[in-house]
This record gives sequence, structure tokens and C-alpha cells, in this order.
Amino acid sequence: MTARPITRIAIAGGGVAAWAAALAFARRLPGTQVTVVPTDDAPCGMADRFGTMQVSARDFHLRAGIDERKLLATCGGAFRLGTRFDGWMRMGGHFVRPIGGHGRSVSGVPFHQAWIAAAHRGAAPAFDRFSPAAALISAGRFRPPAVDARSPFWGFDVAIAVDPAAYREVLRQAALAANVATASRLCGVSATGERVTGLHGVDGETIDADLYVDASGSAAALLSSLEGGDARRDWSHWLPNDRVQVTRERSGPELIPADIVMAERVGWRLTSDLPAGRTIARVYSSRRLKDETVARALGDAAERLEIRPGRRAAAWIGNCVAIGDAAVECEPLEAPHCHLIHAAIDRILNLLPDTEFAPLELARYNREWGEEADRLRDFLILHHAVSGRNDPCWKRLRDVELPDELNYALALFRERGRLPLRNFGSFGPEAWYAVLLGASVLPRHADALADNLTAQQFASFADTFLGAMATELNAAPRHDTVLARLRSARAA
Amino acid sequence: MAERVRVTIVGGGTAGWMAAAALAALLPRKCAVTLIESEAIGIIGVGEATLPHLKAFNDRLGFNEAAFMAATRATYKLGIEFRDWARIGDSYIHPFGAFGNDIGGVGFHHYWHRARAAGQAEDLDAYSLPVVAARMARFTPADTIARAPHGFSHAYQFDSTLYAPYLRRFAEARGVERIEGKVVDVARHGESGDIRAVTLEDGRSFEGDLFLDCSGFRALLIDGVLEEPFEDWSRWLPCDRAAAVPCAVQAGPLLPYTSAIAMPSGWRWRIPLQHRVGNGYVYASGHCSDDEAVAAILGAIEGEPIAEPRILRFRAGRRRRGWVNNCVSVGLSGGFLEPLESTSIYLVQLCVQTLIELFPQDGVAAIDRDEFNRVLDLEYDRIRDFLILHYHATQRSDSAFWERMRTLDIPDSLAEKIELYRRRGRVAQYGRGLFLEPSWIAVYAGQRIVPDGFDQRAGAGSIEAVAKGMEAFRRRTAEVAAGMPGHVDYMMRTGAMAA
Repeated sequence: MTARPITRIAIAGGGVAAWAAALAFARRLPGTQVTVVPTDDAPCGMADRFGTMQVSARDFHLRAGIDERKLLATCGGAFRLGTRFDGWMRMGGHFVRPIGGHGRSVSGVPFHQAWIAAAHRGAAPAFDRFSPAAALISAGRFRPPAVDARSPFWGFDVAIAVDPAAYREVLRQAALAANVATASRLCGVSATGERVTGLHGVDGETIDADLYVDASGSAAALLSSLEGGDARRDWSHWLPNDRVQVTRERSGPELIPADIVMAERVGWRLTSDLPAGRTIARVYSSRRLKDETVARALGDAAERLEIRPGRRAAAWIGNCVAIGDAAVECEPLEAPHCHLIHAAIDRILNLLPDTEFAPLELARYNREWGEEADRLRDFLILHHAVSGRNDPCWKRLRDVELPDELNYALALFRERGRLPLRNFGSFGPEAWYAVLLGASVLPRHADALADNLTAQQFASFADTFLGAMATELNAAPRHDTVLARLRSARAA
Repeated sequence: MAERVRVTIVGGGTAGWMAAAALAALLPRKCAVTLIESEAIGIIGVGEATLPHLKAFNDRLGFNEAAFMAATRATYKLGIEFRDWARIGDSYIHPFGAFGNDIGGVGFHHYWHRARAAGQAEDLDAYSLPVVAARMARFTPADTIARAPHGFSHAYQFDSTLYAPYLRRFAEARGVERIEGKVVDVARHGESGDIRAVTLEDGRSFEGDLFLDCSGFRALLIDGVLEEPFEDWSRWLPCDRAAAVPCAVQAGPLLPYTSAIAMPSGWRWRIPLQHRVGNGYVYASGHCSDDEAVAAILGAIEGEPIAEPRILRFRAGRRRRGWVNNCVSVGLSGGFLEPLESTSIYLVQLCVQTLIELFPQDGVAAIDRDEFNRVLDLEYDRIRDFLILHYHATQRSDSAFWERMRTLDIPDSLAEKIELYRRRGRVAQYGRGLFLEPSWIAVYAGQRIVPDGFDQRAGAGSIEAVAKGMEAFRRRTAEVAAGMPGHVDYMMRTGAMAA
């Protein structure tokens, strides 16, 4: 067989995953014909319910030719500077997992180490008080990061959240404008061994392609038809929440630039505010809580989604690659779903093979993608493993035996506040420190280097830094005001 | 706070004094350092060429760059030149920086491959500022260039027999106690097996909480006492000796780069310092006798030899664990990789840095030791593969040695990396560690591995437009390099040149 470049791409699905892929491939792989084969009337992927993104979205949109400011205005969007966790610790209260870091290194000692040493002396304000993003969240304000590294508002980053249905429509319109074709609804898949040989539409047409992208949601209609496509890595042992019920209501009086995650007796509740409305989701384990009980609490309009936490053993088999829920299913903690889609599409582009689909190249994709998925798994498990709650479900999650790599990372952190140097995937060490120290996991020691700092040095750093932050914070406008300005600029 | 940790360092040399200086400077309240060395035992001192990381080490200790350079007769280093590796007559430089700039998230080298295949691109070298500047013997740090086409870093080439004394003065001024003497006996704790004390020839005994084995190839503690096995890599890296001889500096520009020149049974280094040129022939004793090696190196050097040739013996590989019980091997006692990519001092630095980051807080915690060993393992494995690549990716078959290296059965981890590049110019990525994508590209391209294809996204736009963009970059690179001061001029200006 002679290999040639991939020129025809068929994408099965109709949600955010499918249209994001269609747009990206059409814009970034010139000379390819992209066809979307819809799989359902009402897309029900997790990314079609939860529109909070990560910072990775910015480059994705930039390269796909989408202006993010416009996106915010047209999709009823808002800024996101992190996630606020309520009731996660034993003593109640809350902490923020901000986007970006905390404080500054103090006399050459990394800030988190300096903070751990101070906490041992009993003299440290909460860790997240040193995060400019967390300060903005707490104050309901918004400003972009400072350019000047001397400002305390330097060194954080900004993500966005949008209404998923509006976002999907923007992607779809842009994809159609980039000559993406649409077929009739998928009604059958032909496949032999590790190759998809054609997709069939209800109108009787057959769609042939070089590469088939399975964005059909958790059923993975394409990948499942291939040899080995059903093999999964099950995460439910560590991440038992298998149900999500989601509903919409009117937004509260002020829009904070963060999603709020509140621990419940069983599972947790997400509140995500956008100008157009508030998304509320209850995430829980169906073995601990009856669906009806949750439905009663949330109201009749609540929609129920099922998740099987885990990932495919291989997302790319032969000429078919799965993205979105077809590849990874997990609870919507820390807004992973849009991010997973953006990251998978970027990775496909970075590692795109030719029509030979050489096992070596696919193995590279599967390894990188699998590692990223497993690091996300560990980050999600981490949230549950470090809670201070004493409800039976939470206690069980704390006591469960962890995956080896997470176990090692936690042991090292508990000893000396260090994390193993390795590829972190989507959430880097700063995010881990925020969760660990936010949830009051205080390491046995700081690093020896932190012993060079006196209590006085830390206190004087803290005074100066927090003082400057408080002053500059007052100059930042309210998040609502910034969003209203964006909308009116758009309307004008 | 608990009492200070008693750190006993066995062996001076670059490893011992780097460790002593860093511990004294960075953990002054945490440890009390004693260093035992014997003037009767020489130092190896092969590693005269370094990587940019050493600048960070020196900066952390607060060294003034010019003063340090003057004291060690150092020169600047922008990369390593590889001559005659893929074919006799070839030459390329592996710079401390990238080639070109990414375009829309797609690596420059993909565009270069496309233009090259169409006969519309120069050698890759032309798209790297440090390479172009190095060839012109020009130097200035990247942060002093106003409109640099891209960034780069620099390292040093220095006289390692002067670096250790420089560190020693610094360390002793900060309370490190130096003991002259030879270790003849070691006492261990009965139950734990930890090392308790070392005894010298004259009967004096020194206790310690933590021991650093900086005794070089002798590996006095880690091998001699703790008997940690050595993982032998000579089946992939068969060079096991070096014939070293310094020579006088000849007229002509002082080059801001190290040369690694392939030889019939190995390769030779050429390291230009202020006051001499370091040379050495690294060879496989199975393919070349010591006498042949000495004759070959004496025939190859450009100036008068200024010392008798010395033969060094080594074996490629590493200690299975670098940190065992309360003993950390730093430097050659922990492993050896030939100096082809100047990694020796870097590996010392990595040991020291990692030790400081994982420094015992109340006794050695098993998890800290595991983490130290994990970090070292990862780095050793990657460097090993990168070194093997230089030998294996050759078209030479003019000697038994090169025939052997070309047809070598390489580690799977490397075979996969090469195949991935060969297909479409992709470099297996890792987030951290030494030798990231630009380094691999430099060596793949320099060793004549030409990929069958390139990233499909680099196929966008006409070839003329791509070639035009590349030409503009090349011209700007050449202009900026031409505007840089000469290497020696810059050193004279900053006071880096010894009087």
C-alpha cells in the first residue's frame, strides 16, 4: 500500500467535540475535505453541558481563527480565573484553585516552600490569599494579568466559560464557512479489523474517508466497531461518581469569575454562572444516592447524564481516532471536558500520520494521550483523596488505595512539599499545590532551603505582597462591569 | 531546630568541591561540611566543557561571571561542533538554542525539510544565531542583543584543575572544613548498615550523618562499602579510554565552541581555553591500542603539546542506585557517560541540586532517596540514548569501529525515537530534562537522517513563500551575528580574560 497524506476526514458526532474538530482540521490542514456526519439530534456530550474551558482554549481558538473576545460576547460568556471549593475541608470554609501561581519566591526559596515553613511556625495566612486570581475571585472583580512582574497581579492566567449551545453554534457556523460538508444522520458503520471502511447516512449515502474521527460521545460508535475499540481502563474504583444531573436557573446578583464546587454529603454540586444563566449540576454516585432524590431537589427540568469514569485503552486504532467522551469519561470537576477536546485535536494535528497509519505513530499518540488522561485522572482523584470531610462516602475515597503514581506523588508531597518532576499534563504543579495546600495537607517539613528564611523575612514579604495586592485589587473593575462592556462593545 | 546535619564528603575534585560549595552556600544553617581529600590522588579533570546549566549553578552561588572566567581561564561556549561523524568532511554545530522559530505552532524544521527537499534552503546551521556567531568566533550573551531573531544560552569551557580550587576557596570561606588524608577504613552502623565514620591513614576518624562519595571511579563508599552494582552500558558505548594531551594556543580566533571530531576508533575533543587547548582521543580499547591512540592524538593536535599524554580508563554506565543508605554518589562514582555532549559536570550539578532539594530534614526518608534515584535514572537514560544516536546514525564504514557502531543493536527506546523522526520529522517529546527537541533535531539533521515527510501543516502556502520567509530569517540571523563583538573582544571588555 502506498501511503499518501490524509486528505479526507469524516467526523461522526454533532456536539462541541465534532464541530471543534471539523473547524480545526478545515482551517489548519489545508487541502483536506472535512465532512461531519451527525449522530444525534440533541448533542449530549459533557462539553455540550459544561462550557468552562482552560487556558489551552486560547491558542486553539486563535489558530482556528476565532476571536475569543467576540466569542465571549456572542456566547454569553464570562471569564474564569479558577475554581472555588466550598466545604471541602473539615472545618468548612473554602479555598480557591486559581489559574496560575501564588506569591513569589522569597530570597530564592520557592513560595510554596516558604509558605510551608511559615505554616509550621503557625504564622501563615491561607495559601490562596497569595494568589492574585483567587483575590479577584473572592472580590468578584476582574482584570487581566499585569505585564510588570513587580505587580502582585502578575503571573496568573485567564480562561473563559461560554454557553455550550451557543459555542457549538459558533464552531458550526465557522466550520461551514470553512467548507466543511455535512452528511445525513449516521445510521451505520462498516468496519473490518482495525479499519473503518465507510459511514452510512440515513439518506442512503456512504461517506468514505482517510481518517475517521469518533466524536459520537460515550457510545464511541466508530471506535467500538473496531478490534480492540471496546477495551477500557476503568476509573470508577477511585472516581465512583457516575451520575450528573444538570439544570439551569437565573444567575445570582453578582457573577464571580470562577466555577463553584461545593461538597455534599454524597458527591458535590457545581455552580457555574454566566450572564445568561446559571448552570447547576449535582454529581454523585448512583449507588449512594437515588436519582429520584436528586431530581426532586433539582426540579423537573433537570437532565440526567450517566458517566462511566475511565478511558479507552487506545483512542486511536487504525484509521479512527476518538475524542471527547468517546475517548475519556469523567466527572465535570475542574472543567476538563472542553480542554480534553481542544488538547486531543491539537495532538492529532501534531502527530498526524499518513494513510499508512503506521503502528509506531499511532502508539506515540496513544501513549501521549493516555498519559495526559491518566494525569488528569490523578488530579481528579487528588481532590477526593485530600478532602477533610467525614461523611462515609468521602472517608472511603480518602482511604481507597490510590494509583501508584499518585500514591508516590502524595507520599513525596506529604514528606516535604515536593512533587515528582514529570509531565503533569493539563494541570501543572501550581494547580496541585493549590489543591493540596488549600485542602490543608501540610507536609511534614518544608525543604531544607526554606530553613534559611526567618519568620521575620516571611512576615515582611507577606505584608508587602498582600498590602500591594489589596491596593491594586480595589482598582480592578467588577467582573459584571467588564462583561457588560464587552457586550455593549459587540453591540455597537 | 535539630542539630546541623554532618555531611562528610570523600574526595575533592570538581564533584567534591561543587557539592561542598553549594551545600555551604545554600544550606549554611542546615549542615556542617567536612571534605576529605588527598593531594596524592590526582583529579580526572576531563570535563572541561560544560552546558548552560553551569551558569545557573554559578549564579546561584553568586559568582561573578568575569571573575570566575578569569580564574579558570575560561572561554565562552555556544555549542559543540561535530566533525566527520556521519561522513568524513561533514561538520555541524549542536547549539544551545533552537533553529528558526515555530510558525503557528508548527516546528520550523518541518518548513525547513519542505524547502530543503525542493532545493530552496541552506544547511540548518544558517538558521541558528548561536551557530552562525560561533562560526564567526563572535560572542555576546543573548540578553544583550536588541533584536535577536531568537534566544539562546551559553556555557563555558574552562580548566577544571582551576575550577576545583576556585570552589575550594569559596567553600572554605563559608566554613567547609578540608581534611588532608586518605580514607583507609569505613565503619558502619550495625543495624541499618548506614555509614558511621571514615578513618584516615593517620588514624583520625570522621563521623557523619550523610556521606557523599566523590571519590571518582574508585567509588570508595558506594561500591567499596555498600557494594551497589554498576549497570554496564559498554555494549552501546564501547569507548573505554581516552588519551589526553593539552597543547599551546595557535594564532587565529579563539573559538566559542567545543569540537568533537570523529576518529577511526572513537572521537577526539578540542576545547579552546584562554591559555591552552585541551585535546583528548576517546577510543575503544578493543579497536585501538594505547600507543596508537597517543600517536593519533599527537598527530592531530595543532600546537606543541604542553604536557605528557595521559591515558584515562573508564566504563560507560551507572550505579543502579546513586543514593543508598546515607551515602550519595556524586560524579564519576555514580556513573560515567563519555564527554561527547559535555554532560559530566552537568550530572554532578544535577546530583548536587537534587540532593539540596531533597536534603534530609530529620534522618534520611526513604521517599526522598527514591525520588533522587528516580530523577537521576531518567536523566541518565535519556543522555545515554542521545549519545548512542551520534555513533549509530552514521554512514561511515571506514573502520571496524564505525562499522560496529553503524550496525549496533540500539536500545528500543532510541530505535523508536529515530523511526519516529525518520518518518515525518517528529521528535519524541518530554517535558523536562536535558536535550529537548532542538538538540535532537540538530543531531538528526547533522547526522544526515532525512525524514521521509514533514508535518502536513507545513505544506500550506507556496514553496516560494516559505523559501522567502526562511531567507529573510537567515539574512537577519547573519546580520545580527555580524554585529556581535568578537569572542576575545567581548572577554577583554568584561574582564573575563586573565591578565
